[in-house]
Amino acid sequence: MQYLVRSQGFGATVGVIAMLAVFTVIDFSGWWTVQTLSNVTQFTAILALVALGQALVIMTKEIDLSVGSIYGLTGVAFITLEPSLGVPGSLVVALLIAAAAGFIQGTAVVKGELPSMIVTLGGLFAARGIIYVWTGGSVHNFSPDARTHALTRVLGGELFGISAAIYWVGIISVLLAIMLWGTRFGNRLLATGGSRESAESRGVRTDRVKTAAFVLCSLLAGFAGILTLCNQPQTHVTLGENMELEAISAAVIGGCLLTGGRGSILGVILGALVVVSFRYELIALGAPSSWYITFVGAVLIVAVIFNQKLARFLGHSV
Amino acid sequence: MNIGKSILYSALLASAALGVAHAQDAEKQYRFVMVSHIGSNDPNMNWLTTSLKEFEAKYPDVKTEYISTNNYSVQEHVRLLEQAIATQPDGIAVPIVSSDAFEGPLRKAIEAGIPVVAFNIPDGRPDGERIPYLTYVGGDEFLTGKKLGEYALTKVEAGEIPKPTHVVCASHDSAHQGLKARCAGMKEVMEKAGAKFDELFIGAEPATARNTLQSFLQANPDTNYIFTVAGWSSPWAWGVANEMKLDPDVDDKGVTVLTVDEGPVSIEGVRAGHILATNSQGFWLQGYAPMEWLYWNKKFGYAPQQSILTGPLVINKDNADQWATQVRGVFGDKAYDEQNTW
Amino acid sequence: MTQQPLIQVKNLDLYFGAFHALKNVSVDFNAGELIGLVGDNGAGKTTLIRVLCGIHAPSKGEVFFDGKKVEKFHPKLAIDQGIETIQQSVGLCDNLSIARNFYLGREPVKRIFGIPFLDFAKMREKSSRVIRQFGLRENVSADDEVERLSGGERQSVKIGRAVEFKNRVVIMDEPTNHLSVREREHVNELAVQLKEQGLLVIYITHDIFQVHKLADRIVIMENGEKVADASTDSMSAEALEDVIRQGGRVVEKEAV
Repeated sequence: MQYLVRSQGFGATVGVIAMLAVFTVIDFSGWWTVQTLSNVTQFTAILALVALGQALVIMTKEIDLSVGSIYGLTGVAFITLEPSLGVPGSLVVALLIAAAAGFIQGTAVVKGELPSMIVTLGGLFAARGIIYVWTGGSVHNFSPDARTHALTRVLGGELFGISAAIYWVGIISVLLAIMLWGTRFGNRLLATGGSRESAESRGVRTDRVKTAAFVLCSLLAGFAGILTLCNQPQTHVTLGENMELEAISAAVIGGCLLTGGRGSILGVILGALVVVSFRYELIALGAPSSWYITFVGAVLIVAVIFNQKLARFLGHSV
Repeated sequence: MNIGKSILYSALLASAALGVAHAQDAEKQYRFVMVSHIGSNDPNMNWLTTSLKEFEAKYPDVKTEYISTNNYSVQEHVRLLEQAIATQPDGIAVPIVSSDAFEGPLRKAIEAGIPVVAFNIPDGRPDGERIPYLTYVGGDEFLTGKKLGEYALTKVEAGEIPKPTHVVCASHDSAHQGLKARCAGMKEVMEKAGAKFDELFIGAEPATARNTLQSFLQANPDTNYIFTVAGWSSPWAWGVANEMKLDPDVDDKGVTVLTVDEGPVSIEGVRAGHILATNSQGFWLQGYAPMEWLYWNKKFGYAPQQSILTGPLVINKDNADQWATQVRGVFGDKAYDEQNTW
Repeated sequence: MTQQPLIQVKNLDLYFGAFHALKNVSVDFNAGELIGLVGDNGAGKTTLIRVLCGIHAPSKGEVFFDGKKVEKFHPKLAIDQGIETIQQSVGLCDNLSIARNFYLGREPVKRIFGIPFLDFAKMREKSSRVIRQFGLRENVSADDEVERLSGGERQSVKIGRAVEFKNRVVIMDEPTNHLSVREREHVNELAVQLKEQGLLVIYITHDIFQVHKLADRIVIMENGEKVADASTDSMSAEALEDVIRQGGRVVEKEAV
């Protein structure tokens, strides 16, 4: 219990419990149905993957605004390259493109000593621009053969009525948690975000750590894009637009402090759940769906205040 | 400092390049510019650019230019328009995306003697107040929604599709007046027929749009008509409904999907029986006719006395095959097949 | 001393853009010595140390460890050469536990299916032993986050860490700022202990009187230059203070 309260995900846990309680009361007929939950969890899984990568970057005290565009670029690359490379080949190449995008941005941030906000804002536009130029504005279709390919089914199908994305986010979040809390790399990543100078004084190559975090972030965003397309291959050049905002919101609601070094894997997944659930519930209640972004903004601010108060209450210096 | 210099250099370079272009086109008497809101990311651009090419072939003394951006914003559009006016063309064709933003530059151009034709989107204000352009050539967004709705109702009467109980108009841009007008046209018809009507902002991002639409359909299970006001979002709507086992194909039960545009997605949707109907705004004509009117105005002083409506024309399973052939001709087979995302 | 200096700095120059941070600095540092490095803010003490630790590469001049010239300056140099820097504000990450901080940069691992995982048992056990030895409160455990520690406890953790990893050089940068009198004495005692164990201790401070009591030798820096280098037996604290007070340059000749 004490561990739970002290963990960064505590705020999000409280938030999700409160949210579920409220939704149950105001909309008990619509919320607890298999269809609603599968809809919400499917999209939560996709957003959570993007947000998890974002969380890694935030934990190193940087930010990645390009995730939405990288998500789109990787997805579009996957579909566009499939006719010539086949499903496995284009999967690998698309992920390599994502990794390269992360590597370039990470390198620009650490070697150029530039603010990641600016570099990745550039990445956001650049990657989106590449999508337009590459596709000429319209994304190709995904051939029927490719849709039934075993790998496509593993990435986008379902098992026991639960869509593949949920299994993937489960597997990946466990791996990330082990990496973050149980390996040298994780220890150094947290140290880099906590105090870059101190980490460097212990010989930690914080430039490499940060670059690796950017690469992982782009890979996760790209993988999420591929999962989305394997599930629903109809897409558009707008794939992933504005997703960076939702991903950052999910990470922050999930307890990642923008001051670096603190975060929670479980919290991020719960943060994604909050973001997606709010969209569902607002629509269900008949609010104009353009209000959604306003609500995400409001929830984000409340979450930041709550998480900060909680952190101060626990004696963290934030 | 440096930035100022490089801007200066590029301006010099650009004007030098323009000078060369003018010299090459010495035999061209007129230069008409189409400042469009349709970038290369929208397949509909091909209608306009091919019609401009055809126009140039028919009128060898005219040079046409097509200017657009993929990173669309009204500000960017105004900037492109101002740049185009600064090159002093012999005529401009432009959609009035925002009457407020376009008023200033267009009035200045008209006062300077450059004829202007509005295409695709008119200035929605009454005649005395609107920008004094020559004429408007294009579809009517309200009629687009209305005619599609009326077509659907004739099919209801014929017993081919279910009676509408709740209609949702799925729009990807909540600020676009044209899209709102499409929804409004559909709304008028459907509410008269006793159906509930909702406008839903789904956004342009595919996964978000699907999630939003799915949420709406779950919260409003009586919804049985989906009208997507962009062709490319129709497969998303159909996909969501299909996943929810709402039977979205065109038949006498479940959900019925309607969309717009004569792009490959819309036409193939109709041909495959996924979509009841789509429409054509006469895009090809919207490229060709403004140029013709600019030409006739410039050469003989003609001016049409009313708007020239190029659509809507309902595309359904009866004429979809013919449309498919025509669009393949414009897009090319490869592009057509690739853009068919069904 | 006849033995080869542990660290030898020869004619070091360093520019940060137009700013001349180190001007032709040469110093020898020997094992088993406690050297006081004294000077005002901006005198170049910390800059010199950062060069030794590989954080800054010199613009000109050479650095030798055991007579071997350093070819490439990078942040791992300090670890490779067994240099531990103890700074007031740097060295510990507040967000991590004592055990994690203790082993940061050289975490022990235990392989499970060939994958190296952090060896928490070892990290916890060793760091607990050291923090007891260096006088942390009884109720502090190795799993506690560093942000709960007092200033003196932080310094103790860093010093304990320096000893544990068998370093040859310990650089203490203003180690007693903001400490209570008792904590200050405790830290100074630890510094002398380190020297007695045969380590080279470089003690950076403003306070000539405090360090004169501990040190074998005092090096004074001023405006990026070395202005004095004398054993504490040969010059009194008062004489050295005069050097500082008079701005170095004039007295330099007398001091050498």
